[in-house]
Amino acid sequence: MKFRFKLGDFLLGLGTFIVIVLSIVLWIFIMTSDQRFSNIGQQNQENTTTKEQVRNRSVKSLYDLYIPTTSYGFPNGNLCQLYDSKNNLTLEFTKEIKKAKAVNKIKKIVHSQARYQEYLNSPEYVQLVYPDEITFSLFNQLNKSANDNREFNRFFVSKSNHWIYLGNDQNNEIYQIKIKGANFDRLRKYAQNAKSKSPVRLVRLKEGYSPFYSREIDGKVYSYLTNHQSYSYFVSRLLGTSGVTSKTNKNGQTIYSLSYYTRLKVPAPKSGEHNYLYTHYEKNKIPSATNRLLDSVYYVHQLGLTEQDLRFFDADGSNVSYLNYIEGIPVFLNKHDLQVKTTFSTDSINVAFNSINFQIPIPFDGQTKTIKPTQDVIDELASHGLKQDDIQRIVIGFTTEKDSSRHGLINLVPTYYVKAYDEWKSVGEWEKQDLTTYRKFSESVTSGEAK
Amino acid sequence: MDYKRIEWLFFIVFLLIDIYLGIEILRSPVNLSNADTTTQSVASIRSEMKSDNIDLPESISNTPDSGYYLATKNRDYLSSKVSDLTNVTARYSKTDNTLYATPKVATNLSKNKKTTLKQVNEFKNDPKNVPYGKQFKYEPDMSSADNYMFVQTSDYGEIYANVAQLTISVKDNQITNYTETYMGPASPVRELQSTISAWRAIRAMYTDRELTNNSRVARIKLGYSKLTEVRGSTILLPTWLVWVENKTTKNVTLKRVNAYTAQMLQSSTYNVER
Repeated sequence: MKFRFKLGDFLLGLGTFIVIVLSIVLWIFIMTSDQRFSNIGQQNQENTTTKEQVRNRSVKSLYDLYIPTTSYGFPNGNLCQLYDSKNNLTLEFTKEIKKAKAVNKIKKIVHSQARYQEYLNSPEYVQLVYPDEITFSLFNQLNKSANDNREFNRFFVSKSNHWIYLGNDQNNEIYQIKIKGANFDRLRKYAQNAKSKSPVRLVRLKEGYSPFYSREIDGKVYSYLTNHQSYSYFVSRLLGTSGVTSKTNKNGQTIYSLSYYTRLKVPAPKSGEHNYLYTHYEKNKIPSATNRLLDSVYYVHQLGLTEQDLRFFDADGSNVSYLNYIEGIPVFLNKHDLQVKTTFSTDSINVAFNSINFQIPIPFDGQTKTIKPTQDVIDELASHGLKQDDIQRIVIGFTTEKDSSRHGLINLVPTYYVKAYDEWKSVGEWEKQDLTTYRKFSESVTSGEAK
Repeated sequence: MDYKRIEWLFFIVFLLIDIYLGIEILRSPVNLSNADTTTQSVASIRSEMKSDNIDLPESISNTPDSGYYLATKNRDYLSSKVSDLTNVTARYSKTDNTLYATPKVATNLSKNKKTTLKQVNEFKNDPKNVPYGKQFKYEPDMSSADNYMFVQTSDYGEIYANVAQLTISVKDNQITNYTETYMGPASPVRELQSTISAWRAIRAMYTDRELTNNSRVARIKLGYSKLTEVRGSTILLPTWLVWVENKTTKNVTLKRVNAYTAQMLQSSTYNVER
C-alpha cells in the first residue's frame, strides 16, 4: 500500500514535468514556425478588413497567378516552343494539375547538369515552364510537407499520367512524384498539334535555361484599349476611407498615410504616369520563400487590379514580381517596368505597381515585327560590353507604344528583354547603357563576398 | 496534501494547454488562395441569401470555366440575302441592321407546344425563309407564348446580343412575321483563358446588390455578350448569364456578369414578361 502511494506520487510528478516541458516545446515550435507566424499576421490583417472587401478580394485563385507561362515539346522530333491560342496548353495543364494528388513523397532523381540536360532534350516529355522558381509548398496537394521550401520551375509531363517530374534549372535537380487524378492525354495531343512551333535550344544562363530561337520570327503586334483606375480607388482599397491624411510633395506626387504605418505614393495627376508605391511598415523577419510568394499574392489581390492576364514573373531575393502575359508573352510597361513588384524587408513591405488595365483586345490587323535569332542578339550585346556570362535571363517581351489614332489605345511590340545585374531592360536600352558602373558595382559585391 | 493538490492543478492546466497547442499545430495553415475558403463561404453566403428570400438552383458549379474574347466583322450580312428569300416578303433596314419578313403562305401550326416548336424550327432552318437560320438556336428562357426567340450560335458558344437574334412571332397558330439580326462568324481575338465559376458570378451579383430580396435565380449559363465596337469589329466576351425572376411579379430579367472580372455588365438586362 505504501509502495503504491509512492509510485502514484512519482507518476504525478513525472506527468506534471512532462506536460510542462511539452507545452514549452509546443509553444517554441509555434513561435518559431515561419509559416504559422506569417499566417497569424495575415489573419489579423484579414480580420480588420470588412466582410465585403474579403468577398471582393479574390476574383481568381492562386492558380491563376501561378500558371506556367511557356510550353515546349517535340512535335516533329526537334525541341520547339509551343503555342496555340485555341488550345491553350498551359491552361489545359493547369486544369489537370489542379486535380492531381501526390501518392508518395517527392523523390530526387537527378542532380547533375548532364542528366538534367538529357531531360530537357528528351522527346519523352512535354515541358511546362514558369519564368522563375516557385516552391513545392505552394501547391499543397503535390506535396505532403507544408514547410518544404525546395524550388522548381519546370514540369516534365511524361507519357504516363501517374508520374510527373519537377525540375529546378538553377541547381539541375529533378524530382519525381507519383500522382493520381490527372489526365494529360489532351495536353499531349495539343502539344503534338500546336499551331505555333518555334524551334529553340535551351541555353544555360546565370539564372537557368533560356530559349534561344534559332530562326527569325515574325512577332505579332497586338493592340489594346487600356484604362486606369482612379487614385481614389487604390487609396480606399489599400488604406480605407477614414483616418487617411495626405501630403503633396514638390513633384506633385501625393503621399496618403494611415496611422504612420501604411502609405501610398500616388503619381502627380498631370504627369501621365501611373506608377504607385504602397508601403506598410512592420518590424518582421523576411518570410520564407513560400510565404513571400503567398504574401505577394495577398497584396496583389488587395490592389484590385484586373488579374485576367497577370502572372508570376520573377522571384529575386526578397522581391516577387508579376507581369501581364498576352498570348504567352510578358508585357513590360514604360520601357521596362513590371506590373507589380513586392519587396519584403525587415522593417517594411513595399508594393510598387502600375494601374494600367488591358481592357479590350483589338483584333489582330496583320502587323508584325521581325525578331532576330537569339544568338545574334547575344553577340550584339557582347560587342556593346554585356557578356553572355553577365546575362541572367533573356526573353521575348512586349514593349508598350501609344497609338495616336485613339485615346487609350496602345500597341504591344515584341522585342528582346534581358535581365542582367538584377535589372530588366530591353536590348535597345542595354545597348545604350554605360555598363562600367554596373561592372564596378558587381565586382565590388563579388570581392566583398569573397572576403 | 496541499502540495499534491497544487501538483494536480499544474498537471491538469498544462495538459489542457498542451491539447490546445496541439490542435493549433495540427490545424492546416491558412492558404491565401480562395480555393480553401470556398466551401466555408459557399455555405455562409447561401444562408445569407436564404435569409434575404433569394432562391438559388440546387447546384451551382464552383469550378472555373474558360472562354475567349471573340470578334465579328461589322458588315451587312443580311442585305445580300434578301433576294434568296422566296417564301417570305422581306425588307432589310440599314438603320438598325435588321431583317423584317412575313411568310407569303400561311403555315398552320399544331396546338401541341412541342410540335409547334418543331414546326417553327423547320421554318427557321429553310434558307428560303430565314438567312443563316441554322446558326440560330431556340432560347426558351427568352421566349413567350407569342414570340419564339432564337440566339446566334458560334463555334465557341452562343451569343446573347440584340444584334444576333431571331424572333419569330406566332398568332392564332400561324407564323405572322419575324425579325432577324446577324453578326457574322465569330473568331477568337486572344487565347483561351479561364473564367470565374458560376458560383463566383452569383456571389458577385449578390455583393453588388444585383440580386434583390424576394427573387429566384432561375438559370445560369455561360454565353457571349457584346462588349464594344472597335476598328470595324464587334468585340464579344464570355459572360455568366443569370435569369432572375421576381417572385411577386413573375417578371424574368436576364443579367450579365463579366466572366473574366466578375463585374456586372451594365445596361444589358433583358426582361421577359410571363
